[in-house]
Amino acid sequence: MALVDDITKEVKDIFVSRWTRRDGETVPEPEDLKLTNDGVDLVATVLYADLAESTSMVTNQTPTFAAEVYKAYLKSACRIIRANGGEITAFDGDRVMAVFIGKRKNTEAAKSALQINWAVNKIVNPELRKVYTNSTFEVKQAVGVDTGKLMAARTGVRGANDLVWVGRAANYAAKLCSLREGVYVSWITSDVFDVMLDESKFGGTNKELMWEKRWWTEYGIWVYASNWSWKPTG
Amino acid sequence: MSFESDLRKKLGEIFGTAWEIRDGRVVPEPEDVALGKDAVRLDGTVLYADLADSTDMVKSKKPEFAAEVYKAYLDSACRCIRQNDGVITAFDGDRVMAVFLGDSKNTSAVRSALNIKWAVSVVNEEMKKRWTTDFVVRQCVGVDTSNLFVAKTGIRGSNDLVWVGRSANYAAKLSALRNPPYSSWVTSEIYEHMHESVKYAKKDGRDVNMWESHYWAEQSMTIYKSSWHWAIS
Repeated sequence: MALVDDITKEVKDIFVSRWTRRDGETVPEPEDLKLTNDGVDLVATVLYADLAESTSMVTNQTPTFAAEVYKAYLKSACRIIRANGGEITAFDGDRVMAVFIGKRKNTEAAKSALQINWAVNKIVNPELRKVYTNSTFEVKQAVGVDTGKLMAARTGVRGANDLVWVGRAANYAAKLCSLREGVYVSWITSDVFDVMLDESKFGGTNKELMWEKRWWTEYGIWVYASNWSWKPTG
Repeated sequence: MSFESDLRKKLGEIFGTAWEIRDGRVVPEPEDVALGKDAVRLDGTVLYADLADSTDMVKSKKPEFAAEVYKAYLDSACRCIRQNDGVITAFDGDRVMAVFLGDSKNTSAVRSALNIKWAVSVVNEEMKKRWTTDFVVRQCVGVDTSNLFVAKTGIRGSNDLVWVGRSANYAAKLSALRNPPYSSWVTSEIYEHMHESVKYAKKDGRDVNMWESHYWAEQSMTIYKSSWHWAIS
């Protein structure tokens, strides 16, 4: 069959078929969903961790150096996310998406943001400088977190982790990363801040509030930014 | 071992060991690249296709509707890419990355962009048959070419290759430009090397250039944009 017929048939099927939907108890894997219009509904928290200024890095640094920075950042972020119960759901070059569910989803996602900042400042940059003693390059990143209803569905993009996550949280978490300003690298919506537990709100010996309220002009909502870092235990 | 010492050890390996680099002839799959410091170098053309206005869509429309739009767009884009011998290399919700190799890589990638523009008109027609909506599927494709360095990140459960090179970054950024009705964006390297068949269209027996130059302030360079589509027969 010609490509034009293939496309028309596939697209027609997508818009015609009825949906089957169920509530999810866990973060679904692609194989948990059918290729037809099959959806899993979740109340979840989405985290995006994004390496900043990667375009100037790949244009100004050697490819091997840039690849090491990507690997070091992504590896560190993924370890912290998993240690806090998050699931890596998508990966696209210089950013990683994770989903948290359960009662502590906002607390753990916000904690992950502050711990990723710690890992970059206290481990990734120092280890880089031990090997590249003359380099002035500094790994910079940002993490965005939002929460809400999500529907996961299969797209059928072969050879990829092909789930699409439909919901505000997936879009906002990705966009929050671009709000990074200087040392304020962790950004969460007020929906996350309002319900997370005190352990992710207050820190230091004097239990200071770790987050500052900001107005997100582009979407007209309150968000919170933090310059704190949090050393993981264990 | 503590979390910190474990992570420090891993990063010591990442920054400390020497790379084993080979030249690639085909687009590598994750299993073609070993964990550790194995890497493949290639000259490739990268295409990113990105659904526009998806944040507004997921906020204002039913999830089933939004999911159908995502699926229809991504499926159509992938079919157009594969028809032109591109390989899908990454996928992240509302955008898809593809790599083209070989002598016709720029022409093939550009033809894919114009084909996707056409396929989206099919998506909009089929959508309107089933849903009464004022929503219009809009999208954008970015294309650039450069050396690429492909390594494995070791992120379990993901298509975990990282593509290091200007074209991976520029193609993604170009696909985020919004200037309707222009929905295909290419760098001047692409424009200068692509075949005339994807540069000019015949109109009343004359060659008409399908591309207009545009100054890309963010990266301080001249790029080219097109509002043309190319139907697949």
